[in-house]
Amino acid sequence: MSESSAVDAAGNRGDDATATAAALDHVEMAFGVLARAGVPAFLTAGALLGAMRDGRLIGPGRDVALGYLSAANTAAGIALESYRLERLFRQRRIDTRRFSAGEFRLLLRGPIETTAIDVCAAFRLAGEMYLAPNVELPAGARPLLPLGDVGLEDRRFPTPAAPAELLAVMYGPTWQDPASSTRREPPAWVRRRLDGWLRGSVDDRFAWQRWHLERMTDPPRSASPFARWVASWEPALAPGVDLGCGAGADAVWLAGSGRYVLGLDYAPHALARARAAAKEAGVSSAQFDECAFGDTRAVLARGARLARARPTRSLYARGLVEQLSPTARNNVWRLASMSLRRGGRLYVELGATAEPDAPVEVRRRARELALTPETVVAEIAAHGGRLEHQEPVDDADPQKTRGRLVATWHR
Amino acid sequence: MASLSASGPPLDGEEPGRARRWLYAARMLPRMERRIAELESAVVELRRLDQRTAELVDIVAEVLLPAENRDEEELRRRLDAYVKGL
Repeated sequence: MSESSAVDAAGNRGDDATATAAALDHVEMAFGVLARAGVPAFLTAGALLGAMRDGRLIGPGRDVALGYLSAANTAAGIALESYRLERLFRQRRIDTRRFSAGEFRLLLRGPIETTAIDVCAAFRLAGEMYLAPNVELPAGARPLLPLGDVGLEDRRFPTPAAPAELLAVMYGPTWQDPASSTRREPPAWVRRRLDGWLRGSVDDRFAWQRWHLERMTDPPRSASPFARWVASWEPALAPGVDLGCGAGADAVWLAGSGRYVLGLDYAPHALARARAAAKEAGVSSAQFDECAFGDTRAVLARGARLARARPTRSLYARGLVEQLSPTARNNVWRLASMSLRRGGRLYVELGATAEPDAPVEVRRRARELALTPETVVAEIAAHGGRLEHQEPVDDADPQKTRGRLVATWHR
Repeated sequence: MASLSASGPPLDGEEPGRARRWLYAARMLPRMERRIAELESAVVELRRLDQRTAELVDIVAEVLLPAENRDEEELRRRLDAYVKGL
């Protein structure tokens, strides 16, 4: 019998058994961290469903979701607690990804695969009990505590006090039927409440992730006319920051002369493509990092760092601001204000979005926002910026851009 | 006026007050739906202020407080300038 066909006591084949054991080791680690942080945590979603049905992870993946009962009684407190918990994992050099103010994901590399563990806040607000991302527990539901436990594969893990009740809310009253493994959609008012309390900092990231994943093996694109226009303004080696760099075409081209360019984007798949493009082009002075412009913490911290950078970095934003919420857009102007007070410029290109085949959700948002150059000029001024140059729409431009702006923030 | 169900507009001969109330309701309903949608959006935005509060508190607590321990004079100078600008 070959190793790959060896079957363990739980019925898993060789590689499967190794991957399952590694995933469960990660889950035990995560529960340990949360316990030491003083938050009662429990299995939820698919992992709880599989455990309660037959004690097995529901394949084909081994991703797990944990819930924890928040001690906070305000939405701000729930967010602060979630940030604190995420930092505990980051301090252990565990990669994380934040989905909302009440949910983040751990990405744990194992010997065979990466395990994703979602860590979701459960909390009481406005008299109702919720579990991120989208569950409202019915009035009269049993409290989540005291925790119970359940067998999952060859381990035991904590559950809420009434796991069947939670599963009925999440998957319907027929949750024990293997055909009922799709989460129920929450009522619109539940989604709206949780949108307000928890979401809005990474709008459309899922769409961009999907979009970049579909193009992961595409050859790198050529630099845009915007990149060449920026290069005509900037000294040859003046460093810069490409805000919303996407797959990195402009950043790599601008860095080709030896200029240092930092590309920022919130989609990890975009950053992966950008790093691959830089490597393929042999450009070492293009670096890429994650930044969600809807996350005020990230923007303020990045702005504080850029304010200290010498020489100052100019900022480029092509096809970015028109797809951002007002909060995220104000964060971009704030970032420029913090970064450019000792010099440098902000270059903005407004178009229908940077990519003609951008995700439908992004194009719809850009249409709804309907951002005009006039609004951009006014917002820049409101944030202390000064318009240095503006180019109107050029009908001969095949990319149909709606305008380019240059702004400064000198003291 | 298009004919409707028995619970819709008044039939011929019915009291004119009911007709006026029905017409008023028919005019107001789309306006109320729009107004409710606007209010729902406003509530979502107001709820998001909690996230802004948390973000700001977090960066202040994690950055400014430790920074004070590292460079007292520099931080005091910056804080004085900031307060003067309020």
